[in-house]
Amino acid sequence: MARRGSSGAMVWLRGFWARVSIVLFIGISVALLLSQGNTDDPQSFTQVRVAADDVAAPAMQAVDLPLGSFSGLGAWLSSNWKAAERVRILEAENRALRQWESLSHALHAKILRYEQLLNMQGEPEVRVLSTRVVAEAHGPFVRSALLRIGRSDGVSEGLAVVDPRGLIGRIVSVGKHSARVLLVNDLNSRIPVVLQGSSVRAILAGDNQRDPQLIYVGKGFVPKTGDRVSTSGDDGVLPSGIAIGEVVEVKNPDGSVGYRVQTYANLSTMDFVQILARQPAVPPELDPSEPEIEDLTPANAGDTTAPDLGAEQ
Amino acid sequence: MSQGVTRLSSVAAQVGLVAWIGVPTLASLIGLLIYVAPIHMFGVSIPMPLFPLMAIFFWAMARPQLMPPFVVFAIGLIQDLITGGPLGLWSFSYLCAYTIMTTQSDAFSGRGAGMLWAGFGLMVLLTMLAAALAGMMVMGTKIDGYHLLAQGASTFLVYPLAGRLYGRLQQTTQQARRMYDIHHGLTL
Repeated sequence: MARRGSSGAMVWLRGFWARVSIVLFIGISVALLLSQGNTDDPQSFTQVRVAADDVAAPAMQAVDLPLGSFSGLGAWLSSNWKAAERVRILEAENRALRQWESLSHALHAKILRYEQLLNMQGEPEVRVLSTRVVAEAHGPFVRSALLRIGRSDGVSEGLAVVDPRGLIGRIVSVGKHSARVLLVNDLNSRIPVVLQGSSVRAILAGDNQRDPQLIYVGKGFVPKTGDRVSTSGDDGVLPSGIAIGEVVEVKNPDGSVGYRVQTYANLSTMDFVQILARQPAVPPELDPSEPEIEDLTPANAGDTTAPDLGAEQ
Repeated sequence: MSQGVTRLSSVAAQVGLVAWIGVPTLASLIGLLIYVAPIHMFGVSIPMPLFPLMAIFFWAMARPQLMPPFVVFAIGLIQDLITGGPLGLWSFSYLCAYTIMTTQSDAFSGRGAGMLWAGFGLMVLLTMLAAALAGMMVMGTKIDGYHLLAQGASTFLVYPLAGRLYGRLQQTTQQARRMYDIHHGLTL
């Protein structure tokens, strides 16, 4: 049977149409690749991608049902592995966190008082949408995730996506019932960040490695290992103050020192995530008792007549 | 009369072929969905094997007429769309490896499972090389070689199991098709 199959393969390939179709489809693939060579247009083929995501998301949810239990089994096994040691570590963590909790309560109260004194207008309210990752890509070419939530749920492009530990990425395309997240370590991800404690600005740039790199760090400033990094909100898209991770020093292949950010969120094992949707600014309501502002556009200006002051005189 | 039966057989053969092509395509697509599924074992992400590549190799060696170039192209393109990667990257890589492997199929098929596995190893290597080249061409940057290597290794290691599954699937569909032909009194 195998012999017949292999000779069949030769016959198939020797056929004129087989050769033509191979050349044709390789040609189409190359044309598609070259058409995306222009990195100024990262949203190429967006409509096709969004439509494909809308089809893939429900299919992925169906596949995820049996596979999810498989993953769950692994999680159950790993959680029972060295349980006693894990309990001891968690208790130590809990004690430390209690101290931080009381400190954060005190700081929160202090900040509220300062804001009242300064009559500070706070950040716009943020609405949280929770969902689950139905597909993820951690390949060497792309770092993204597919969510089963879309425009019909109020999701739009640019929104921040976080897990309980910190930022994982932002929404880059939205379908009716699906949304794609570009992870912070993807090659196309650029996020303005601030190094906490110093107020120094930088850009968090992904390069398809596990940890994104820190570039364009404020002039003369040298980050230290352990410096906390959070969003600066300078892009006007992501809210400021979302925790991202901590700086780690790395040695570049050319021998120079570089800085990467070890994210708090585990970007390779995402499960439930939250989308932070900023509430749109509501325009102030007009008081009906106040006179309306007169429309003085040239078209309407002709209707108004200057008072004839001379007639009264 | 005999002309009518021949014509009927020919139509049935074509319908059967379309349905027959559907099985490998469907198997590849299911493999693709498993490939992008968020599976985590012990809190770590496993470098998922390229299941679509296994299906392409299996049918390219066993029944190439069931895995024509346009199906390979479509599988690669769907993979690009679902992963959100550059369009054409996996279709190009799969087609390059497919072309080379089908022209060399005599060297691997029919010479034992070990030789077939070695052939698959070559296909994985070719696919990864083509993907790395295409990726560098589009992105203009170096590719994470470690990740590619890990993915290639996991794909290579899982193939004997997946190949056996695909073999059973192929046998079952072949038997079903024979029964269909016998039931309708057709000789194809």
